[in-house]
Amino acid sequence: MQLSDGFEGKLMPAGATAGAAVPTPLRGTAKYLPLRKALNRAAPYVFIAPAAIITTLALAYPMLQSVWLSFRDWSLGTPLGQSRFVGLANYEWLLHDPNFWASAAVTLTFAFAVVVVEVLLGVMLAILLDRELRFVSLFRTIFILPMMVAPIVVGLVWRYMYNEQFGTFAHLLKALGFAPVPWLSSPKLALISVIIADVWQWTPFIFILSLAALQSLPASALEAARIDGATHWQMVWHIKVPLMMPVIAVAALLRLIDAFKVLEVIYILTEGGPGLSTEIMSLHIYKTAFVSQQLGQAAALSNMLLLIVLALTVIFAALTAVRQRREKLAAARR
Amino acid sequence: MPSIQIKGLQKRFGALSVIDGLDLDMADKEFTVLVGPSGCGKSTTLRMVAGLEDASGGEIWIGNREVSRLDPKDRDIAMVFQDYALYPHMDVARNMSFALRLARYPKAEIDARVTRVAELLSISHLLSRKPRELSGGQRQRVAMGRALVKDASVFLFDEPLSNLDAKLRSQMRAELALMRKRVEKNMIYVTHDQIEAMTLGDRIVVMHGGKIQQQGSPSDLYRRPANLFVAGFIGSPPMNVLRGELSEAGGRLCVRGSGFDLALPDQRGAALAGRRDRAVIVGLRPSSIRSGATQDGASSLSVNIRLAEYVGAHSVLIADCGGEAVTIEVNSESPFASEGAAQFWVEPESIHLFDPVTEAAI
Ligand SMILES: Nc1ncnc2c1ncn2[C@@H]1O[C@H](COP(=O)(O)OP(=O)(O)OP(=O)(O)O)[C@@H](O)[C@H]1O
Ligand SMILES: [Mg+2]
Repeated sequence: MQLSDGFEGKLMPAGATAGAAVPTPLRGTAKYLPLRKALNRAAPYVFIAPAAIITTLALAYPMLQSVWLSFRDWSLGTPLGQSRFVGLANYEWLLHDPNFWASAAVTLTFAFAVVVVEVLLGVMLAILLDRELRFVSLFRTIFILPMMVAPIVVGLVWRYMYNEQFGTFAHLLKALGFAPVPWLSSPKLALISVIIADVWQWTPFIFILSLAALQSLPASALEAARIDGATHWQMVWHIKVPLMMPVIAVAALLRLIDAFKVLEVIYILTEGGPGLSTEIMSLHIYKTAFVSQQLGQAAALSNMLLLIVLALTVIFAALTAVRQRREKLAAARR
Repeated sequence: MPSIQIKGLQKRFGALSVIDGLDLDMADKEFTVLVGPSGCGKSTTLRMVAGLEDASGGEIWIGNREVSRLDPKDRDIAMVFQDYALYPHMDVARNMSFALRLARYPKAEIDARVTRVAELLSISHLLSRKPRELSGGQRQRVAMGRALVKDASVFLFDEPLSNLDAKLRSQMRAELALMRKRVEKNMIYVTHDQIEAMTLGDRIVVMHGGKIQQQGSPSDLYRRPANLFVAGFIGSPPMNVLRGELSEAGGRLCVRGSGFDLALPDQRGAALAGRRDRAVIVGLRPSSIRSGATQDGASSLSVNIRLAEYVGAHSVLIADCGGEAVTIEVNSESPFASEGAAQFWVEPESIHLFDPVTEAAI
């Protein structure tokens, strides 16, 4: 969980050597020195600038627009100019709207469930397949495939498989003599079914990142552990997993952020139903905007979603910082 | 007692045969050094003893157990790696205690052992640091400490000093020599540095091309190299190699070539009888070449000095003898022209002779 760790460490010495390399030939022309130094110091910012500018434009403009919109009452199909300023009315509305709270709960449940399951499965698969056996590379390729399928297609395929009359699971259960399961029509099961589909598609993401992390572990440390008497699983638990942790943490965070924005698969599988049982926030926003045609309210909703994701990221960063601080303190105290 | 025996050890990587029938006996508490040029199979041999690499054939005995099919953890060994192989996420104390914690030793005993070994290696003040917060030399000590804490009966070292700079290396070498006196264990030490081998080893095993060239005490190898390879590998600066011919002049045995005519000890006459008037390879240690001429003129080495390298107490002369390069070590006090022709002689007892075909010592 050391996101920022390597970067500072690497940038500093590079800048330092660049500065140190200059003086000797320029000593005679001392007045140019400050300029040189300034240029050197500015170099990183110059390189970052194009990306920063594009990101700011592409990110800030829609975001500000959406904030502005969330203070107005604007129906779809009417000119934007006729929209009314309504102050905080949209936010007041959504805080009193039980549907908002329901979809927030669904979103949180969905996001945390998929991330936990995907991380556990992905890391376990990577550990199992991190060896040189025949067919292993074939398996690795197969496991990565779901990630490459377009979400719309994933939704359609799973919708077919879940179908209660002629779906794949229905056939299987029937053949085995079990009663049919209302995968998508039961409010209790629907969210689980949706979670399963997402796990199917995104476990490979954790899997390939974990596998890459595993294969770049220091080989001699693993050999040292073997000599120190670690069994296969002790090695996994005491050496491999801790050393993979920074990669796993970042992968999990990326998945979490992504899980908050998922739309297509759920839209196709359940359209948020039955009832509101699978209506995650992005779907709720979509419906508010294009079914209820309340663009101002939809903007307020999406700002709330943004705030939630932002809060999670900040919490994550804070946890990392606190942990690092505590480690440093502990080291200093001893 | 755990002496180590290796019988007919083989290792193949696919079609490539790296070790081909290696036999080695090590007495209990002996410090054995495997030395040889890069790629000769030292690490592979050591890793087979450790169990990190499966042997393709042969047996490895530690004490009265055949271990070549056992897991590393069941062989009662400890190992120090070239790149230290510390666990990056554990502090020094946890690195050192990892094996004991896995073996579920009581905490008090673990602490006691770690403390004792840390004191032995003067790393007590580093116990709460992570490996990345240590210097190369400190990491090296921690790696050593991790091996010592285990109290295994066999210690394996794979070039443990080769990542250190020259000064630190000689310092650590001295410390290793001291530690090895206090820790009475079987140790197998791999290096390609013959000075490390000479200073540390009870027994040196010189390897080349997957085969043992010679084994014995450091002075054995220095004084009686079994073949030209060992002669050239052990000793610094390396032995001079000249082509010559055996002959007998006036009842005295000597070896002649362009620029030299060196007397041999009389007692070698019998052994060399069959080789009279035949070609031989002459090996001369730079330190056994003396300046001046003998009274009887029976032994002479005429060279043309090209360069004198002042090292301190002695100087190394780079010279030319009948078209071949010769290095000579002389006392810096004695007056020497740094260039030009000069006369030397060689003590008869210190002349090495080798067969030009088999390269074995005669
Ligand atoms: N896994 C492997 N696969 C194929 N060949 C290997 C493998 N490991 C080692 N070899 C080969 O075996 C030979 C001996 O290697 P080894 O590592 O034992 O050399 P070494 O004596 O330790 O050399 P160095 O002093 O450079 O460490 C080399 O020719 C090397 O290329
Ligand atoms: Mg090696």
